[in-house]
Amino acid sequence: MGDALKKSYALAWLLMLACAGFGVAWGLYGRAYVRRRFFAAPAIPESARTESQFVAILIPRVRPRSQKYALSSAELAKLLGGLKASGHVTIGLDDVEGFYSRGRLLPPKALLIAFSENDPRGYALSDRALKRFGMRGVAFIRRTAEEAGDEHRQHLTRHAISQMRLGGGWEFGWAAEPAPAAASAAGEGRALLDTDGLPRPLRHPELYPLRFAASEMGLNDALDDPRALRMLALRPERAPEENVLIVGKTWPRAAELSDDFRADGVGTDWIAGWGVVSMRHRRLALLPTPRHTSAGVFLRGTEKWRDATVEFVLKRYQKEFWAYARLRDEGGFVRIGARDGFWYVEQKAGPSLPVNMLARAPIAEGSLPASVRFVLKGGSVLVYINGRMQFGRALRLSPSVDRGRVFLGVYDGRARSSLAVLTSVRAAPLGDVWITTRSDLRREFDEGRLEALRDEAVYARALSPRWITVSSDGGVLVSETQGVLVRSMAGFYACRLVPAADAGELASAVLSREDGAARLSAGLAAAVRTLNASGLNLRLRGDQAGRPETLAFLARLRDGLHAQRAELWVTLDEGGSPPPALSRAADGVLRPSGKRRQSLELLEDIRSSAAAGPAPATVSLQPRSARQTVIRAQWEPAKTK
Amino acid sequence: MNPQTQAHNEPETIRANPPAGVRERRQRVRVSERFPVTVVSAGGLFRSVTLTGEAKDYDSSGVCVHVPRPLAVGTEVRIRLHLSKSIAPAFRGLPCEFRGRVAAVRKQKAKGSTACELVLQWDRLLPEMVSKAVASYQRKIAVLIALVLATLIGAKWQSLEFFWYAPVFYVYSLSLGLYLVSRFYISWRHRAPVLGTYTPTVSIVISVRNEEHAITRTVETCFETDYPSDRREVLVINDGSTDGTLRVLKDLQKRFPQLQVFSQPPTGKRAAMAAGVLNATGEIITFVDSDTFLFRDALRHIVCGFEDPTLGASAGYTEVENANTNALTGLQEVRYYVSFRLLKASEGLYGCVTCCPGCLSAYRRKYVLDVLQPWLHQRFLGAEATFGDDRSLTNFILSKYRVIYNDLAVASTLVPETWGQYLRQQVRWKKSWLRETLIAASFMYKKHPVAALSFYAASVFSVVSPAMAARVVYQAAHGEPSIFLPYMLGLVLIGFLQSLYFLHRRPSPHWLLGMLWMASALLITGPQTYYALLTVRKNHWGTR
Repeated sequence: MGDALKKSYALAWLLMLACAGFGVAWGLYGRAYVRRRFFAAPAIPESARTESQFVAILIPRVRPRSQKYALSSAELAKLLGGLKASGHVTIGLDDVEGFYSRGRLLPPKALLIAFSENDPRGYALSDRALKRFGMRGVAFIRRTAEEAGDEHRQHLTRHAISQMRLGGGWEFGWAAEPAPAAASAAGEGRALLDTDGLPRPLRHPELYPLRFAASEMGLNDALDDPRALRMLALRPERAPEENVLIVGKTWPRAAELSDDFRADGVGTDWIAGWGVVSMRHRRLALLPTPRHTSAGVFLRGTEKWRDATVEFVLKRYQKEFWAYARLRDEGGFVRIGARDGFWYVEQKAGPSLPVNMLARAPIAEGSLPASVRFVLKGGSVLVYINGRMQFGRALRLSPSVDRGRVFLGVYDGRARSSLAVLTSVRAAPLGDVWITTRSDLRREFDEGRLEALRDEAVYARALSPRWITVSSDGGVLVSETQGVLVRSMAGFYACRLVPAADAGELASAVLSREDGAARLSAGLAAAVRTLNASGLNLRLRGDQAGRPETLAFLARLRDGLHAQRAELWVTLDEGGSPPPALSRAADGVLRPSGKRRQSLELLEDIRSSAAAGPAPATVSLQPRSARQTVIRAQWEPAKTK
Repeated sequence: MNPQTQAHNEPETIRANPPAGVRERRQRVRVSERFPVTVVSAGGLFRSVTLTGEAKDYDSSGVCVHVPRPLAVGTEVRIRLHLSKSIAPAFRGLPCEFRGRVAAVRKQKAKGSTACELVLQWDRLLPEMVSKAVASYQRKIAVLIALVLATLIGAKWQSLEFFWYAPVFYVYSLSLGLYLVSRFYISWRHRAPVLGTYTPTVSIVISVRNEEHAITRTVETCFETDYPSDRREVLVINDGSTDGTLRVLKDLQKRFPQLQVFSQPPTGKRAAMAAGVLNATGEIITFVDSDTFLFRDALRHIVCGFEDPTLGASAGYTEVENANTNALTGLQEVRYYVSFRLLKASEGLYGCVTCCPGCLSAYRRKYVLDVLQPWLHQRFLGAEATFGDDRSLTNFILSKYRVIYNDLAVASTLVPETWGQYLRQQVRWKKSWLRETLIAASFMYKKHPVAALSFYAASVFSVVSPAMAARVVYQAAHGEPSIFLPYMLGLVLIGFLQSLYFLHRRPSPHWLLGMLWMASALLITGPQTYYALLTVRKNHWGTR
């Protein structure tokens, strides 16, 4: 009787309120905190950020069990596990944004994993897999549940989005341009994804500094427009292991591809573009589908190739067959092909420019099957047909045709009338190989040595003859032996001419003295000037390289050479990694590759031999800050609302 | 047998030297009641005979049936009938089939007619067979209820998968489901107070205004209760009736001299009830509406429990008298049943009934006197509170004492027969609910936590649910139907569950109208909550 609150009731209320409070706290913060604290992807230290490219992949729908057009959760786990085991490191949109806006580098094998579905269950399953492997994901959604007006079973709610973001494992973008008011619902997600690969016009393009398009390719680097990035759409019908392989091959191909089509079916190295692409019975056949006029196939991992060698054996063709290199989406390319009984070499410098012919040669009767090889080196292309160099020289290319993928295709104005059959294809990026000599070139070049020089010069970036001698007291002597031969070889095979100077005998006392170093530096610069070379290749012993006086000397020498628009390269005679200071003091560091042919010695660029992909053809003379300016220029800051 | 029925039937005259079966029958109470019966003789599909007739009278051992032609004595038969009110009032209308045999045949005297009376003997005693039939029927309905419950729980379980995506929505959805399902369990645990020997003095107070057609029977049933007449008084307060109510009351006073009639100017029901309380002398005040008819044992049951001084009030169970008038009244029969047997019983388990209905409720007079003045002069938002008198008085008592529910104290009442009357009644009830819920919220937390939590939850649901329904309908109308189907499925399941609950205890065809009630609650009476909120200060008398 009465209206007093019983003690037991009060305790019960306290317990209920405590549970409710805990539930609220858990729902608002707790779950996200646990996710972030215990399951987040590890942070990437700044020291590990050394690369300027990344691969973006798009994962289809995820469902508990296998379904058409969807990955099962087990398959997703296998896929992510395989990607992690192969060394991929996940990044987020913030990393991509930082890369393009501030030049902040990315870790090696940086991978952006994207999902584009609306079903919350799919995200729950994906989150489980991402948590398990400590990876991050990016969700591109069409709209939120509040916008859709549904009962939260078909779209993510704003609460879910904020929790997923708070948990540290997810970022958000849009798969369709949202209403401006709704844009903030996903935390001002500023990335857009065109899931069908076709960029649609946007109402407010300035709000989206990052834009992806789903495609068969997913590699992006610093020179790509952040509003035209690619995302590799993984196919659910492929096994997870195959998809892991495909992602691995999306990175710039460093190894040679040699395919004689023994295995039936279009393998993971190729991307069937359109038309009929048949790889079986040891040949590749390209044939348009009915009502279409062309067919083509891309070589995976070649989007960023600059210098490369492409060889193929053309057995038969009808109408037009073309082998493209440095093919870009914007419309530039260089191509070699067969049409109307002639071999043609053509280039297209830009999207609005016409195709211009560089050279042509008749196809000799009975010469098919023909082995065709073209070597792209810097601004030139060398063409060999059936082992013989064509056109008598390297063909000059437009500077805007600088990089792109390898593509094979057929075409004709009439539907289904073109055809090409190839029996083998070989492609490889061009390494950074230099040719030098261990001794001077006083002796006559015999046929064997000449043959060796020709063979190696095709693929070499530079010829580095020993024309400069440095005495122990710092004296410089220039002796241009076999100058005509070497210079003509350099011109013919589009190699740079960078004479070598062996400073192995140089006494360290010379460099210790100011006047000695100055005199030597001036002498070497004058030698380069005299020889009218594009640089100097200074050969040092390993023990010389790390000394402070050597580094100071090299810096002085480099400045002197830069003043006359020449470069300084250093060859270290002993193996191992060069000290970092040496890499900063010179424009490049070489080392003997161990290969010798006749009296020729092949050197390799230490940077490209260690890198996963091809290095730029030339070392940029622009300072690093200017290079970052190039990147930043492509980034237009989003306008404030 | 229902003792009430016994009192309404006179035993038949018995002949001398009756046949053996009839002699045995004379030893049991015989009930004269006519109801249709079908008699099917045994003999397989092609040899059996089906006779449609009418029962004349019955007892626990057999029945006398008038049929068009005779059957041989000793023939095994199956007797198909619908349980009448006298056989099983709670399960009237339940179709049953009992086995028996022909004990005797009485031929009609008319020449050329083959019609006769068959005396059929049940295989077992009638109460036993009825119990078995009812149990079998209830088992079948219970299976359906279990299936629906399982479907509902399964649907809600699926919600758990999406819980963290929209926790506010799913807390609402899951707690609503839990609330509704828990009512079944809690009400199942409810037990009415045990009928003992406690017989306090009882004053029946009836407030009446313009009820000349119904008041007679109301007063009659009050005097026909089996409560000791020396411990019962009946007071009628005429609140300024303008029809013949006063004349009827005067006539009733001639029949029932103990009837006390008080007249007052039209002041309102609350004032009439207060006048009744002031003029009453009994320890327990029983309020009865002027269109409500007490069951014979209602008074004895409703005073159970008042030995406990912590008990302040008791609510009885009210049936719908005019349930068969039309669909609306049938709908209200289901609604009353569910509301009393499910919701009020759940409240009653914890002594926290929030509304003792004006139809039949009992209060300890001493406690009512303590709150009479504040209750009489209650104001809300500056306006005088003239409706929701029963809920308001319950709140005053509940704030300090226990208020229970007794489903053995039964009365029947007349409900609105037109939609206009019904909707006006619902608006009035909504207004009183709004007002009194706010008041009760200030002290309900002191009650049992389960009851308190249920109260607060129900209050929130009542306000939020109509808005949720409107949102769903709006979204469906604007091309986003994905939420509509699951929502409707949930509503249909809940409505089905409540209808089956009614059907489980009452095999009436009105059970389907429970679904109509859900629909009307969703579309009409639910949104009335907001109308009531806006017009809560408008007050007037009037029930129909």
